[in-house]
Amino acid sequence: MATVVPAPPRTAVPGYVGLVTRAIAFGMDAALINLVAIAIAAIVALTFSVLSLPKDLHTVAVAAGGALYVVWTVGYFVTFWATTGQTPGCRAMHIRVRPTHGERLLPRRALLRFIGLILAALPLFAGYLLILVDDRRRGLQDRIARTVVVEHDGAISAGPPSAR
Amino acid sequence: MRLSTVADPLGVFGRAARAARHGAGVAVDRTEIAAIDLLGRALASSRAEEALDVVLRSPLADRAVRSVVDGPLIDAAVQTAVERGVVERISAELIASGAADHVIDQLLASDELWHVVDEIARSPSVTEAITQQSFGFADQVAGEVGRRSRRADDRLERAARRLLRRHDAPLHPEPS
Repeated sequence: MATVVPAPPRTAVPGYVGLVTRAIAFGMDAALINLVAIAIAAIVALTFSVLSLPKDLHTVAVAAGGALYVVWTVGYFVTFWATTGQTPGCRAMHIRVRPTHGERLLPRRALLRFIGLILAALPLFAGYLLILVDDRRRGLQDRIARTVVVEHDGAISAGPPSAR
Repeated sequence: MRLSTVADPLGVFGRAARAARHGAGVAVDRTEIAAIDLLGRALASSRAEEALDVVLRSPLADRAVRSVVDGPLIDAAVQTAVERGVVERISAELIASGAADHVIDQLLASDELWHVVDEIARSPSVTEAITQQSFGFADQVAGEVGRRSRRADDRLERAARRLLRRHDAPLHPEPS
């Protein structure tokens, strides 16, 4: 009588995340960044509206505000990627950025990834289209910073295997 | 021949007995009427209230109430009321009379009700339940968006690979 070998239990394999999911997560982050920036800008503008400041100072304030916006945006992504590997948008979509080898992304490489994010957008977003054809779903920013975007614990399944 | 015919050929004893029974009945009726009249007068008098107070303050009243509450009387009364549909009848009559609407209007107009509602709404159990439900709903929405976006990832990738005539590589190899 033939011995029946039980099939090994199917374990969930964390997969690489595609373009649409990452775009939604990025959209959430962009919305959050701009929401905070707009709220702060509104408060500053209201404060300035009741003060009679010289025109030069006004120009300086606008330039400082622009610089702060850039710092805030870069700091947002670099801090989240280098600490938890998840921005709030990534957390909502159950995805995580991590280095190709290792678990935690160094701040230097997180900054490199942000630069890669901008570079990928320059040639009419062609740098992001690499995600569609790369076997590990890496965009230009991932190749530059040697990172991958993977499903996080408790990730959402796309459905039955046939749908994948 | 019957014995009564021999002993009392004129039926005097029978008549006397009937007269006696009639007289006794009349006397009982009059006594009852007099007693009721007396009770009515007693209840109408100012002393009746004092007497009632004395009775209610006495240990006897306390004992009577306890024995009624502890005894089967109330259970039997409630059971009978339920069986005979008394509750339904009273409810129907209250609703038909508009008394229920009046009570509800008064209740809604009272500040106490809204105070109670505020207290309940602020209670930790209610706020916790609302928070949990909100988180649950947000999770549900995020889950559905995640599922659809992952399906869209796969479709878009397949379309891109077809366009570029690339081989259909595994979409989700295990990360190293």
